[in-house]
Amino acid sequence: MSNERYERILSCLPGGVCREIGRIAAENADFFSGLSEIRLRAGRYAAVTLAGRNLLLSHKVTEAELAMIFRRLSGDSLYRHKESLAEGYLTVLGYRIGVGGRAITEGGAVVGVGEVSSLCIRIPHDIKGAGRVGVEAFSALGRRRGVLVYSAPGVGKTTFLRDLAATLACGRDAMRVVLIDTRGELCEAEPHPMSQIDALSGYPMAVGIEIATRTLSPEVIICDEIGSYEEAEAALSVVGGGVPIIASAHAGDLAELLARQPIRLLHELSVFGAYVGIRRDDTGYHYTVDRWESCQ
Amino acid sequence: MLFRVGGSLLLVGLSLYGCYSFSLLEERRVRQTEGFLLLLRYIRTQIACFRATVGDIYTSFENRALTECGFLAALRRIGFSEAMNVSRARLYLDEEELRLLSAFGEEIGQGYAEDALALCDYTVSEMEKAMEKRRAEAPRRTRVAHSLVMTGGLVLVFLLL
Repeated sequence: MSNERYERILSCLPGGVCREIGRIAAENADFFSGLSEIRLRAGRYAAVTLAGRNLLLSHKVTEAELAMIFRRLSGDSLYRHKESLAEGYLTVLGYRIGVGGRAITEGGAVVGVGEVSSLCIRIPHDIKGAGRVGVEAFSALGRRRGVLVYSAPGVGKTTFLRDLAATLACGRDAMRVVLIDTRGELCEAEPHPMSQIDALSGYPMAVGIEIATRTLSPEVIICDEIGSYEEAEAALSVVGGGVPIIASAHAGDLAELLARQPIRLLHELSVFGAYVGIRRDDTGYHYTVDRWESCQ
Repeated sequence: MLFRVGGSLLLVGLSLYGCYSFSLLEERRVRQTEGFLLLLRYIRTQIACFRATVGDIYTSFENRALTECGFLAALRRIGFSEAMNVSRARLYLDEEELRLLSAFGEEIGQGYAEDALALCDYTVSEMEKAMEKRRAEAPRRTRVAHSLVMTGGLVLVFLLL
């Protein structure tokens, strides 16, 4: 986690919340590595998720404070976040901030969020070696077929992919990696100077994949949270062009993952050569790797 | 007699300095209005083309007139409307222009791009009208001010002599 980015996010929060976070951090040496979320709800006490546990802080967030935090987080530039707000989040300095409130719709489509009532600030972590299992699985496939990473939300898929991308794009066997960073949280804040990563940030996945293959000649494409038919079709088109794709998807286990229709389609066309499951408990991260052949 | 001549020369000098100061004030006024117009157009372009945040826009904009009056430094530190309040004493704009710019500062960034661009367009067009009016009136205002100051100075010189 970059301290500068973290401090800039904290500077948007009310003093009471910052003081409380500082107090808990002083009491808990592993606070920053275990902190995964800060939740702010209008008229209710702020909360943090620390090592999977939800802790209430003693600061009650008022409606005016929440409005001020929202303004500050958006950089007083709401226009910059129109598309992401329509999908219920803001991305600020690589932090994804979930926004709860009342949907503003036009012709049945959500175009924004009004009466913001809660904010969920997800704290990303840069954990060196988090993607090692993925690199091994990808190398075992001769770096010719893709890998799909899955877990429940908030377990660490993005951290895994970020580290995997950094590992693949550096070193003696460095590959030309293109990141399709739809939600603006996959790119490293300070990429290694020798890194061979090109990032397409903020692009819808299908568009990003098409542009990447047409203009950036990648050796591997990495993208976060694949799930719709449109995204599955885009992944198919790139695999047809000889570029493997590494992606993530939400699922509690492999059966749940393969029960999702777009993923099933990709599985049947053997787009992914291996599936990596991530689970986290008090003892740390646990990975399961299933080869495509064993999932038939 | 020597004192009278010296006093007369001092009065003439002061009158000339008064005329010069007024010209300088008019020039500053025009340059500040031009500076704000350039800033507004820059904000519009940066939003229309790059969806840049207002913070990034303010940081990357440069203008001498707005720097000299302290507005740009305050803008980068505390935002548009607060910067207007802080540097108000050093802004040589009309009340109507100050009100227009303060309203702009309050609203910019609080809506989506189409709202921000409409706000920029409206404020630019109003500021352009003010600028045209100022340019048209400036020579006449300067002439009148110079005449008054010089006449006043010469009257005092005659009285003194």
